[in-house]
Amino acid sequence: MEQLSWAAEDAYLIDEVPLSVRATDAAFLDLVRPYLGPFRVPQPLEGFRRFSANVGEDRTWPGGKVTRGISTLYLGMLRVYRGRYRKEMAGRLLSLVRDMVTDGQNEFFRVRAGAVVVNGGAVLLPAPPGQHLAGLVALLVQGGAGYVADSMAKIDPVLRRVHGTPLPLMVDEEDFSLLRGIESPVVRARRDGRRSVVPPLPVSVEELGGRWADPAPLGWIALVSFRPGEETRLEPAGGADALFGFTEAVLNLHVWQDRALLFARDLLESMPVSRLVVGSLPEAADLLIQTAPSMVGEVTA
Amino acid sequence: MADLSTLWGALRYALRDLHQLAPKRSRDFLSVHAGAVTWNGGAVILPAGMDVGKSSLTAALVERGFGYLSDEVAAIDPMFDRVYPFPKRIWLDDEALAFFPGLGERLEDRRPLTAQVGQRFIRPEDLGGALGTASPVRWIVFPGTDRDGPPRLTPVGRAQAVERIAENAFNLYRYADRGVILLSRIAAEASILEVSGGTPPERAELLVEELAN
Repeated sequence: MEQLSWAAEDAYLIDEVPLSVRATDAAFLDLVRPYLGPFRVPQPLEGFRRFSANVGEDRTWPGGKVTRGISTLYLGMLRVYRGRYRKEMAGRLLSLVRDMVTDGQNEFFRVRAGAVVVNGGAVLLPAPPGQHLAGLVALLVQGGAGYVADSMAKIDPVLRRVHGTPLPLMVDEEDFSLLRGIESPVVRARRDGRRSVVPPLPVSVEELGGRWADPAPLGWIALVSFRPGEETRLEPAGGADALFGFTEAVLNLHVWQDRALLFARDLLESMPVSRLVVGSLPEAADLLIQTAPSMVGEVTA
Repeated sequence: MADLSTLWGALRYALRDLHQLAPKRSRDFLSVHAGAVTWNGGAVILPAGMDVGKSSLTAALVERGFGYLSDEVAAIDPMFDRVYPFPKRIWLDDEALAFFPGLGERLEDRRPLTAQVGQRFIRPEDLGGALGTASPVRWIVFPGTDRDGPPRLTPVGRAQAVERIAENAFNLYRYADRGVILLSRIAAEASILEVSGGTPPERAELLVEELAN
């Protein structure tokens, strides 16, 4: 890797995590800067981790056909992406950056959940691992909710406010078509007709035409189940079923241990809890936007 | 400065470093440099810097029936404001050990490696005590540096207490303003005193009387 010729390198510091991104083509850094720009620092800081992007060159054949060059992304010496789409590679990089930034933040109760703010109260959307949660959150943001988190929310144990991470939403490729004013990325089909697995792609709150929300007190928990094709609906939830569903989404249960269960039970008993069955993302977003004000009430800090 | 010229000096340095690294690195507790014991379902924390007498006062309290949580770190749970055990062995030097007649002979802490150590490592059972369990903070007692005269207690204001605990926190920067709110919440629920004068056992006797009231 050291034999490659690096065109440029950007250094960043995000929530105490120092990192750098270097690339053989500076145009790749331009794909990343819109999302990480506010965190740029003049030079890599002590203990930084380095992403290295060897950007493949596209080749134009006689007749005009273009073959995309193969690009490779490394984190340290570990290859973390190989493919032909630079935006995909940027998405992979940003997903890894988010993991690096949030993984150690165990002063928070971390939950695999989307979160938005309505009427000053946070709506928490815990969900099982999988796709579409960020797409749902993006639709909520376009529907007027303040953005907190797309798939990893942090609950402060002292004040019980919901915090996010100041990074872009990472939306699944197939949900882009649902978002107003956002260009759909290239959808690649394999020869057997199935879609390739594509890493989620970044979309900023600004691109969505939405707004960031400050950390807010929890107002409503809606446990999300994605069941495409079913009727989209909200059902009451509670008891052991809700506790199990919620703790399943806790990412640092191993840190908080027995306290996590007591804390989760406290949270669930102190606010409305629902189960959201998502048959269609736009319908679910509409339902949440309509229902949230009455569920959250008027929350004051 | 650490004396690394002897085996014991290096060992002492390593142990102290390890014991401080854990609370500094810990994120799910607000860790305060303090002794901590339990009494009647509540915790007593003894925040202070180094060499003020936290360990000897903690040992004297454990000897009088208090549950042992730590002689070095009050691990405050930010979810429920309780103090959890950080039950390292209590470290006492010969000078402090003199306040506990017969204790030195009862200890089983001598090993070939530690035969020359200047300090002794004490379990709560060596003092006739036991480990305490996670408990809400009911008393905050600052061990004072003034050892002259008889033991005495003076009340401390809440704002001053929060400031003094914050000065002794290992990882307040992780919690920032939320940590100060947590400490304020704890101070609001606790009786706050400073103990000065007297020997560690005399201070402990005074606290037993005070807490019984």
